[in-house]
Amino acid sequence: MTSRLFVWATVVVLLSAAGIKGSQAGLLSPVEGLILRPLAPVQRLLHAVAQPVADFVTNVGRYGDLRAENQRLRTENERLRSENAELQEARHEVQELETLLGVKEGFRQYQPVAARVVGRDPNHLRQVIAIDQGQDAGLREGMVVVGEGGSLVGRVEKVYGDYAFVRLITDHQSSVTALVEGSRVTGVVNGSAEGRLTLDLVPPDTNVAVNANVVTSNLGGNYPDALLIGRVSKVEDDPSRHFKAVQVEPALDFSSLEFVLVLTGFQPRPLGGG
Amino acid sequence: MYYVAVPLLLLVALAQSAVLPAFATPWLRPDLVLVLLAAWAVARSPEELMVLAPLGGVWLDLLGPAPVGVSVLALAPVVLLGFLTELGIVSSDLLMAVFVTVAGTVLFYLIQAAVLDLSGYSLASLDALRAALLPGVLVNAAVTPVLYFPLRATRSGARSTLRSTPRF
Repeated sequence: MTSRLFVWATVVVLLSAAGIKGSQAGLLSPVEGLILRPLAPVQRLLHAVAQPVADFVTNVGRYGDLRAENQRLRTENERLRSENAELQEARHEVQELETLLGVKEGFRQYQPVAARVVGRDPNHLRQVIAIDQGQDAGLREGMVVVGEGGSLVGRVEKVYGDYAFVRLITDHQSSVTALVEGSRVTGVVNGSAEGRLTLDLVPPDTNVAVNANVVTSNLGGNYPDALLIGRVSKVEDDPSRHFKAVQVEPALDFSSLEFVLVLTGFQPRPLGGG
Repeated sequence: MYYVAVPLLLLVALAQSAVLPAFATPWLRPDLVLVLLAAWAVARSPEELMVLAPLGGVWLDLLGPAPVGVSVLALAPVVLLGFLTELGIVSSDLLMAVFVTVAGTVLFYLIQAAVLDLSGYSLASLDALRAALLPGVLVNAAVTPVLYFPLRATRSGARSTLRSTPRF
């Protein structure tokens, strides 16, 4: 039996090594795409069924938090209603400004392709989602992916015919050049193993306000500028450090992401970064 | 047996990639394929795992962006651990299944991390491994009985071991 196990282990190691090399060289992509094509609808169905259950279970576990959040939202709702009255008046002006700045046109020029989230990387070491659009819809590796509201989701990592994997900005290998709105302080937003975001390389003598929006910067060339990443949730000033420790709360809840937009018209400039 | 096992593995891998990630916390996301294989080794036969483990690994790799072969390699120790059941070193089969799951999970994550690292996906400071390992071990161990008992119920005549009666 020992010799049989040894032969088996040798075969598995050799075949795995060949598979890994073949995958990295793209030799297996046609086969992978062929198998994934029929599986994508099944994944989509399973994901659609699982999401409400997961939301329920997650929310039950957070009952205390939800009560507090409910109270906070009531207060915020009241404040927003009063603000809404003022905003109605400013709406016309905003629409004009929006047209003037070309924000909408600017976004349209990136030719967004809508895709549904059908799964996630079963490997717990990474933050990657699977979507149901691929090469057939014009997707290519490196393309920028945003949420329905235009917040940054990540970048396309691997593409098949009608299936692709997107590495989220919360993945610990992701890094995005960013700036803090208002103060215009620049830094690099990095993901982490726990799926949190930090704004790194922020000099200690700069002013970073809690709750300020963090958006993409066009420095680095990998992302369109001004895509919302999140908001500053915590700033730690430690004189012994060379940089501030800034935590960023993502604008999106990545665990309940259902649809994304892939900016097929944006050409990243390969200057490094995630 | 394989007519049932192969689609079952695919179904479990699909659940692992499409259903469980909907839960935000890793404490609710067991590595179902690994646990199924570990329970299978003890409840039925570790020899059957010599075919099933590589298949489970292929399904996992196909459903994720990792190169095909990473999970195949990472699941290989489960087969070797499964053969420890033949030695009868633990008095309870259920405990043995939990042991195979726990040890298999640790090796699964370590091998995955090492292979991903060697493949160019650097795991900075092994933070990702540290964050995933403890929840993975605990949740996998907790789920093992759920898969072990149904599998044990199907084992009549499946095992060619020295033991004739189940122990748990």
